[in-house]
Amino acid sequence: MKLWTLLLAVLAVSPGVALAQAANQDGERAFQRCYSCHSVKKGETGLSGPNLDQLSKRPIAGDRTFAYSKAFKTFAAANPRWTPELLDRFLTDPEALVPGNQMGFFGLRKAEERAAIIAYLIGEK
Amino acid sequence: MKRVWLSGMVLACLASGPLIAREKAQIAASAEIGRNITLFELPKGSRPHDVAPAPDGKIWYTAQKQGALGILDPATGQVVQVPLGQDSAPHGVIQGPDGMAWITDGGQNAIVRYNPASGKLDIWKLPEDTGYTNLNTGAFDRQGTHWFTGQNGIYGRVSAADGKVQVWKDPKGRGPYGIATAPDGNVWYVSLAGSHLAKIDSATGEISVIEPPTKDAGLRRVWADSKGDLWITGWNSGELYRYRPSAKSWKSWKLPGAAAKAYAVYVDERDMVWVSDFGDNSTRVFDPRSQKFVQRYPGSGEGANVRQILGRKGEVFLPESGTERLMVIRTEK
Repeated sequence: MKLWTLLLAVLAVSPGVALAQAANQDGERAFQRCYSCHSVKKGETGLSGPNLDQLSKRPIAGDRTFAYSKAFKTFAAANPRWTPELLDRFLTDPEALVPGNQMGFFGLRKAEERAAIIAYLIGEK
Repeated sequence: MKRVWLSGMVLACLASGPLIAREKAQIAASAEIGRNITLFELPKGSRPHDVAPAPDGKIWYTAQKQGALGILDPATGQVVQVPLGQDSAPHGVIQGPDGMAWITDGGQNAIVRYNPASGKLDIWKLPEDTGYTNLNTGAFDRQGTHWFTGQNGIYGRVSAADGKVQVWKDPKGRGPYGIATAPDGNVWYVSLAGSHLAKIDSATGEISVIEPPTKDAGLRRVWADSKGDLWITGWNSGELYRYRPSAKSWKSWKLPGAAAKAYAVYVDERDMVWVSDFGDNSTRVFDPRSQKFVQRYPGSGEGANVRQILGRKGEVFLPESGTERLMVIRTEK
């Protein structure tokens, strides 16, 4: 299944609260891949990666408390916002999209896992 | 002197059962890039993370992005990558007292053991109720038990004798990262997010938490010298720490580079301390006697990202996840 089909299923087609909660649980579970370095809790800082709260509603590299790498600053200068498509490319191969970034994470192979994280981070919660 | 091996792919497929590794090999390009420094090109897309000395002079590395254990023969340049499983994304590798490769495989949420003599893989999955733990690094205690960390907030052990896996929660939650064994057999780990040092009681599994002198230092990796002092990197603070268990005392040194981010640490057989700095794209050598940083090895390219350092007598290995190269430094004059 293609990512967009999967995202549509998660983000747009889900009409009820129960489905939204299920999607959120899937997202929360998938987000465990990111959990050791990132928080989605507003104001929680001090981890080795930036806070990801309100990710799509702020500029890329937009956690003002975090010291981003040169690679991420360069990438942010050319890309204003995270979109689902851009985030999917990043989660597939971070080094390919942002060469020289310092993340200790080299990508997720499973499209459904990436889709769940994307929905969790920038979808409707 | 410049010495280069270049070649195409050499295929060597071996397969004889579900738990026997299917390998493929190639010859790595390599070059002498300086006095006593050899650089090996590892397979593209492998994203090498950790490295360890293997038997017979070979070098193991985790090919995290390709879900494999890499085996480099530095004498011939041959590289073999052993696939570890469909979901594999290995982080750490060390050589066990049994001469096998013990791998902390985050992707499989399992400890994987590779027997270089037979190609057999043993896979010990963590209990289902632990969830995804982001397995990080391993070390052996004096009884030969393998201890490991999981960055999502756990540490644990697996016994090869009975396959029993036990997991405990770190009291400060997410962060358990580097782990090492001191000469007296005690196992210590550090927490990156929790920013603490922990001593494991290997009999009970309980830990004693020790706080560093710098708040939110982000303790990333730990290694012990021959006297039992622990050397620790501060990712957030850009400092190198020494914790002396005998005196329960700390001492720290700021890395020389601007905006230092201290990542990997390793103490060689001369008790020289090797520290990688992402801020400076280099690895530095600290001499505890003069208390000075005495050497600097720049990354072989921009964003080299040396995430772990290990070696053996006369050699230090710097795996570069960013450039996908392995730098081997010969320390004997």
